[in-house]
Amino acid sequence: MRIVSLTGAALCCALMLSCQNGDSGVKADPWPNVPAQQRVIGEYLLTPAEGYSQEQFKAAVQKALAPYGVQIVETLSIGIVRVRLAKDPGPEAVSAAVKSAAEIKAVQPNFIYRAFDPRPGTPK
Amino acid sequence: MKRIVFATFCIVMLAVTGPARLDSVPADFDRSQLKRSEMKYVPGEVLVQYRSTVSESYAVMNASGKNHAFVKALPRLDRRKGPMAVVRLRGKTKVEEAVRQFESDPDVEYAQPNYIYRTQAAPNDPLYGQLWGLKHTNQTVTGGTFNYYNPPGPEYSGYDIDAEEAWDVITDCSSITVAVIDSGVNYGHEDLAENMVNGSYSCPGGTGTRGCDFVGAGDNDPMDFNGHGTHVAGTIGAVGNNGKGVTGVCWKAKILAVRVLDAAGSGTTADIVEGLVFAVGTGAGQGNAKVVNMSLGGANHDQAFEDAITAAQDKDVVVVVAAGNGGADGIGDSISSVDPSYPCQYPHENIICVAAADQRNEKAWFSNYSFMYVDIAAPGANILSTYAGVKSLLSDNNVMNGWSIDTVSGTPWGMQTCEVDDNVFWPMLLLPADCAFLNAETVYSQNTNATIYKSYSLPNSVDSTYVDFILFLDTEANNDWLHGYHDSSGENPVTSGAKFFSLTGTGAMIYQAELSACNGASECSVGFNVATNATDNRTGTAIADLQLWGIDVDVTDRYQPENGTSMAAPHVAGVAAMLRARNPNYTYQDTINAITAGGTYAIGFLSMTKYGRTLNAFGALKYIPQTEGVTVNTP
Repeated sequence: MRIVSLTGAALCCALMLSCQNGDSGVKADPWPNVPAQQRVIGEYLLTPAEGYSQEQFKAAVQKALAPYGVQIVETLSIGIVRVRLAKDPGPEAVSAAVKSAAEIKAVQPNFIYRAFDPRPGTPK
Repeated sequence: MKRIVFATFCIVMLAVTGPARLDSVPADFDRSQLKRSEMKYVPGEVLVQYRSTVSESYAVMNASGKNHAFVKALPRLDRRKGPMAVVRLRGKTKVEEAVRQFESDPDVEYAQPNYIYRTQAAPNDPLYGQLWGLKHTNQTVTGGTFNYYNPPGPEYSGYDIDAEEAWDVITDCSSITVAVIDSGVNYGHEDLAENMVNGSYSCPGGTGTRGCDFVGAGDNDPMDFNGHGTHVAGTIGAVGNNGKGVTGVCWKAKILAVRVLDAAGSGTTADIVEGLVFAVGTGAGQGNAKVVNMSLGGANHDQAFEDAITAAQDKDVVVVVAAGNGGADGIGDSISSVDPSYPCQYPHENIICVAAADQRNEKAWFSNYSFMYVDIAAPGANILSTYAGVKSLLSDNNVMNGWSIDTVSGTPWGMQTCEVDDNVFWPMLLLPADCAFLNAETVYSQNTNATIYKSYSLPNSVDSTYVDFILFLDTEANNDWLHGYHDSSGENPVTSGAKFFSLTGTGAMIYQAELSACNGASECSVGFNVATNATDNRTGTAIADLQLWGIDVDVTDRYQPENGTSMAAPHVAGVAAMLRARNPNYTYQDTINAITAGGTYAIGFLSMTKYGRTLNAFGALKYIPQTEGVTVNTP
């Protein structure tokens, strides 16, 4: 039997609250409090700034994120590159690392989306 | 009463005038469904019922005396009445004038226009009677899990999208490609195969014929291993009037499968961006879609996703999205949108965001809503549609059995049954192996490297597997990690297999993940590894209710009712395809205007959606855009 219930939800909340003292998980700006399950850990998407070639942009990405073991995985259709970091310092640190690189317009986590789960007849 | 129209008379009239505009209705439609759908009539012609004292020859003279032509007398339905004449009007006499002229004649019992009747098309699909969203008869949806208002009561009959009226106008949307950006589509389903695209698409890893798969590295096979996308596709365009299963909003359609969500229903920004750009791309090898359905979402503003929707807008594509299901997902559950849901909340004008209505035409309890972002509501509870195959639970009920523990260093895993509430006990995998974890009274060791894993046997019939569990985690963020691994060898997957997730920090969640390395295998091992460093120790982790699921997609005759805004959105996508097929010059804006303006006012949605309306397919078809230079084909 599935143990997904109000009891479970209450337990989840209780546990989360009980663990909020001290280091309370991933914090990021401009994605404050993005839970780890809402992004692919270690993966980021970077958008090139106008006026730079893809080579210049990729070189800047490699340089800015070198301390984290960066690997460029692919270039998406709209020019954005997806990178994978061997050691993920979190969105806030990644954002800070690329801030001074003029070739990089923006960086964001590779977010996770879900099919909206079909709902049962009674509220969980 | 003079103007009572008898059913028999309707048939006679049809024989006289011929059915109007049956171009979209197949020849074998059910003629018992005939009824007057609009008060249109034959110009320059009236029907005159003479009194019983009048003979047919006198009626001829009577009509001639008014400078009109007696065409013929209809068979007498009632011998106590005089002849019923079909009279053709001469000159510029209007029908209304002629009716008044004849009715002022004491020899005439009544006169009326010669109304045009249309078929009201009903398909012959055996499960059509279950589709309350298309035709609401206060039916009970068999197997429906939305237990409220099933059925809602006879007063709610007719609270549907007026599909039959719309089908009088058009049933064939196959000139418009509709992209289902989702978990894929079982393109072999008996009620979908005929309505899938059959093209040559430039996919990752080769040429696809039904669409493309963009999950991970991707490939050219957009098969659905989850079920969600196939259900969505069926509502848009399950083959209508084929004597099988259900019907879609469009009887004939061109559905493009774009797989961006895995077997667990999960996908990433990168995969969705690639899928969307492909779907709306034009030219050889591209999707060439004019309507896109995305019944998916997330809680974060995402610039890359937004840029892809801008690309869709630049290509004049309507993007239909689900508002979200609220409840446990915590996304967009309120008018103030404190908890946002994307893509619903992106500002693009080509997005139409859809809430879910129940069988009373009111908001289903789970549906997200917002008068700022949600455009319209559509049927979204107890929606029967095509299903991808047979899903089965592969794990045994006793989660405590069969686990192997491998501790390289530090704190080991263990299994305990813990009391999570008064007299509520859950078996759990724990690190540390102590129920005191639930009170945050445990601490794991520094430099822990500990694994727990289990091997499952898979039946031959299973094409894809995913794992589903409840997870509690409290580790030092970005330093201490929980990793999930899987492998088809049956050995310790942490040493031999592939990673399916990594998490750090603090949280509690229901986690689902596809185990792609196990697809098609006879065994699948699942393992969890905790790896910590030499700084800060925290409470640890617990895993409960772990289940392994498999799906067999070779079974292609399955149908299943589901609830959700995911089921509401494809009703709108189907109508969007219908509108664009009917009016090829429609822009995305014309299409969305027609859907929102043509909807049915619903008090229950007045403060919950932008326009306070629910979807009405026929209303949308009747809409005339204000745009100059657009030729519109209205009913």
